[in-house]
Amino acid sequence: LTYVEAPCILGFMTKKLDSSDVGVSVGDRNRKRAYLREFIPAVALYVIAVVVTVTLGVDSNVKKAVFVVATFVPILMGVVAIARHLKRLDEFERTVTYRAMAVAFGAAMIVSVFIALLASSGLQIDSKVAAWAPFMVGMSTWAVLSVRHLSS
Amino acid sequence: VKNQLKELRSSRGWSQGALADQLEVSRQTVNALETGRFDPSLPLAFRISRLFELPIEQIFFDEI
Repeated sequence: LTYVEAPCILGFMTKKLDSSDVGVSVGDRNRKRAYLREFIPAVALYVIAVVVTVTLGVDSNVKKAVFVVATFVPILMGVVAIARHLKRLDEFERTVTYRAMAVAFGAAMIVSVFIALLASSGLQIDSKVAAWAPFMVGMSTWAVLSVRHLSS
Repeated sequence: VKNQLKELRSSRGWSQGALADQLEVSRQTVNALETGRFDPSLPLAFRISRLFELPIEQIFFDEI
């Protein structure tokens, strides 16, 4: 990317600005960096907690309790990172993101009801699949819709 | 709502990223405004108006 010095018109913007119409602006880059700075440690801690737990095993109640706490803390960190990221979004990004979240919530609910109906009809469904399927469908729907709107 | 954002930006030789930084929004938002996919809130419309030193009605106008 090449940069040009832009005139400071509103008085609070004395920075080098992106001269191309593609990619990200300085503000975009700063927001993305702030989000990644908060979200990546949460994911890393979660992965470490899962790997350590799987390696050590959860054969006792104490280990199970440690596993729950060790994975819950990074999840909480991730939630905080996402909440702070949503606050940093501008009005268009927030509209797109909230709309995508609403559709994702609907998709997750449909999958959840579908699994519940299958279970009610007597079909044997793996408990892990039943627990994770709504989450996976919800998250992937949110991601696809957000990327589709924001990348255009 | 239609707007002259792209023409005004081009006349000043600014990129979308440059305008985005001056308005404190993302480049995607500037793109969405220019292509008519998104109508700004009143506070953002006023910021745009101040930036280009033009009344809002000279930047944004009804599609009819």
